[in-house]
Amino acid sequence: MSAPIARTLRALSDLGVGSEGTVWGLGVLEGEARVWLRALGIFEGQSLRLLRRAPFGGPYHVRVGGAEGALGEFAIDPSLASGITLEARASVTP
Amino acid sequence: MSAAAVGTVALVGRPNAGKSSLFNRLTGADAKVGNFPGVTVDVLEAEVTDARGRTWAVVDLPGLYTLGVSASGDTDEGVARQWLDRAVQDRRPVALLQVLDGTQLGLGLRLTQELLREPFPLAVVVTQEDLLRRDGATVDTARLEEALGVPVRAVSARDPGSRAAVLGLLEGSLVPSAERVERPERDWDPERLARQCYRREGAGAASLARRTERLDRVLLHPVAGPVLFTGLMVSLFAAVFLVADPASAALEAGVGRLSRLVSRAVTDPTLASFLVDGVLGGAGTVLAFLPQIVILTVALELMDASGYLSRGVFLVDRLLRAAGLGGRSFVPLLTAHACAVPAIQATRILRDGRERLRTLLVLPLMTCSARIPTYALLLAAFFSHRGVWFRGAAFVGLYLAGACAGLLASLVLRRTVARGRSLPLVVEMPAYRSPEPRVVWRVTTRAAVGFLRDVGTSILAVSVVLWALLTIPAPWGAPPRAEAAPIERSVAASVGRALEPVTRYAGFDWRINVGLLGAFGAREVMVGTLGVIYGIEGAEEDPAPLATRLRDARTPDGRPLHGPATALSLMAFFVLACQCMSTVAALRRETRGWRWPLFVVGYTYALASGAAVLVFQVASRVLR
Repeated sequence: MSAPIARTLRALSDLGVGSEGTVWGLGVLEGEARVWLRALGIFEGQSLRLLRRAPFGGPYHVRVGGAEGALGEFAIDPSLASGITLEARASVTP
Repeated sequence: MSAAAVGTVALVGRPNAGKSSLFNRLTGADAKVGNFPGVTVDVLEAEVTDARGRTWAVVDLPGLYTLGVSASGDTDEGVARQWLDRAVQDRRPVALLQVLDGTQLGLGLRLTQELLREPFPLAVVVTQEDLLRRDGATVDTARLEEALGVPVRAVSARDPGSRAAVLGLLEGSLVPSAERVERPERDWDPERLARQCYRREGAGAASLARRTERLDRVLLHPVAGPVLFTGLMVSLFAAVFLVADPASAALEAGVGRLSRLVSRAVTDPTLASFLVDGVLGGAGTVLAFLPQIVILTVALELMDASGYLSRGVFLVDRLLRAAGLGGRSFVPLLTAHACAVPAIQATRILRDGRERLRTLLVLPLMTCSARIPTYALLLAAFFSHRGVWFRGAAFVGLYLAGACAGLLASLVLRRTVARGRSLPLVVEMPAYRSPEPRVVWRVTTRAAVGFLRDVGTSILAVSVVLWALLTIPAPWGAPPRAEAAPIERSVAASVGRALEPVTRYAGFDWRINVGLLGAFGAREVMVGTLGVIYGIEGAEEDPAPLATRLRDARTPDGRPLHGPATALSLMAFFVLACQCMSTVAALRRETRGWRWPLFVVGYTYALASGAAVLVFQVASRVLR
């Protein structure tokens, strides 16, 4: 019997700057926001890295799509960031 | 679309995919705003002739991420959606040409997936080939063609040769069709296909991404970022002031020379006065604001094309959100500091209807350049003894007063008439690229022409009507004195006098009232009107004699007619009142009705009158 795979699911808003993960779900968000995020390029299975945050609790600056030729960078409002669930991979900074 | 055209090719693509660049390359400089029924937003259209002499209408649809979101007709996505639906309805022969950024193949192919479901012939142009090659990469177009089942070409839109490549694609395989196209659904995954079609050959190693990362480390640094951004905005305003001023003066001097020629050549005094004060006066007023519009448009376009504009949005989003707006409102708010009319059009980038409405309602409070001549005149007339620093600070204060009034109004509106929270921000931060001069030039000329057309005609009309009101003697009432100048007997003066019992609480006499009546149509005419009333020609060119006359004007019993208190009260009025019919017309166009434009006029005039009375009553007691 194989051991259950331990998933570490965290909201984008809980990640530290420099952290990476794979988008696991946008379930918490309302319909239109979800459709819009997916259209822009933030969808399940995309790898995502938190590059920085704007000062005074402003938007999150993320890069999605680790693969070459598929990179996109976006600014995301904190209220959406808390609805984007990621499977965390590695944290570069504490 | 002309009768000879074989059909229409619509360019579709994500924002920043290089669509404008390719459109420019394809069509040269002679695009015009297409007139499409049902589409309120400017959609550029131009005709292109291919090697076989056939004409194609090429349409540049707004950039879009998806066709699937129920966007309203006011946003870019909505406009494109409406246009496509309309083409199906009218059975127009249309083909789609997707412009796909080769550096974002995976993301662009998601849109391709949607476009394949549309009932039009489709071809794909992969752009940014030059950037890819610099990165040592290419896109396997043959493989893409095979997977998608539609023609694919890779080009660099900046390369002149791309025109022939795209025209060849049009000629060879893209036949616009009035028939509905149905394709069998193919099963492919955009990301996987992108990985398969992306070939890395050299050792360029993602230089584009690296350069962007390096620049962002500075430009979005927690401390340096906001400081640099603020510095850039301050320099932009300094440029609008310092560079635009000599250019405006030169344009006005030119109109002044023309006026003198006309007054010498035309012997009939009434006709000469009509041409000089009415027509040329109005034309000069319009031209004086053109340099500022041009500078601000160039600056905004450079920021947009380079990718910095979305960094600005990122930096100011938090601040504007506190006022019930959002980062994207920053663009129209900035534009409004030159002129509210293009700013009202710029609100189309706001996806959220409530936020867009709030932005539209507060834009007229931003200090547009048409207020500057009045501020300059009043400061020169009543505060010249205070020195240049005082006047500089006063100007900054007036700008800030407008901006703060706008943010406060937005806060109030959010809780009252335009309730609702703004949609959360999601905005793409494109890789930094050097802007293309051809595209900047095209955008700027369009903005300049649009300004002259939209604002120019209304200023000219106001100027001519005002001339008539200042010239025609009032048929009612007796003139105050028999020896009064003709202007004191005019219709405008008698209306101004009738208002005096109310406006004296704000310190305004009939002369200022007449100026304000004209300024109701276009605040630009204020200085010129006061010049006419005080019998000073060319007040717009050189306000100094008018400033002296304003300061030295006396009542019959020898007291000064106006003082600093009146000046402050008049400035407060100008900060707040929406004295601009072009703005009202633009608001009506964008909100499709009279409700909101009338609301704006009502609330800004109420605020302005209240503030003017308050300022005058306080200042006339303090500044004794």
